[in-house]
Amino acid sequence: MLNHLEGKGKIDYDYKEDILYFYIEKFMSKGSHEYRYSFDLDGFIVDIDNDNHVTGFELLDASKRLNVDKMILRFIKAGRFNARVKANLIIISFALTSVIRNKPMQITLNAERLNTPKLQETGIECQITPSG
Amino acid sequence: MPLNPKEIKEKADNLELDYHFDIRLKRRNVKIEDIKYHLKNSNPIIKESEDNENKYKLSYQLEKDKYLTMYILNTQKGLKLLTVFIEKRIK
Repeated sequence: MLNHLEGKGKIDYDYKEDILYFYIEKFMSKGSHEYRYSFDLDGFIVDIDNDNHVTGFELLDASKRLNVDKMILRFIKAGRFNARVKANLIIISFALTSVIRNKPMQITLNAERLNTPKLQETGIECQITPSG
Repeated sequence: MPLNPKEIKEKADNLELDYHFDIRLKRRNVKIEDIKYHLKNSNPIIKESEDNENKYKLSYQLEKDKYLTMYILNTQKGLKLLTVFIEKRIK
């Protein structure tokens, strides 16, 4: 059975170095969810907790990978994050809303990687707000 | 010119971090003292970036399949830390 969690997450964007970091700040269920390690999937760094849940990810060269202007990533206001680990796949997706000059813009990412780390089947979804 | 372990050790004292690092260090339970210790005293596996000649991935082995991994920029002043994490590698 899929171990499913919900939480609230934060986005931190390093504009100068173009690095987007997402992390789950608060879980809606009990458990320590302590950071254990990360997998580096070609510059897509996935954080795993002590229960084998995906609790964050970091994207190097984020604007290039997402094919958006850096300014859009700088003004992220809200979004949703979803990570699902299946037997063979790690599926990470998010939808972010950025607002520039009062104009809302949507950014979406759907990334699939083979579950070569052999993570247990889990799912997590959460709302995102900017950090700081 | 590729970065070598000797140059990393020489530049370890001039390590640049900006405010984005606070959350990464806190979330990933990595201490800045440990980063500096490894930079100064250990020999990493060095991987060059394909699209930025000044960007490198440095990995210091902690356990059989775990590494203290960091992405850095090699600048004239020193090393700028881009990110750091405990990397688990899959065989």
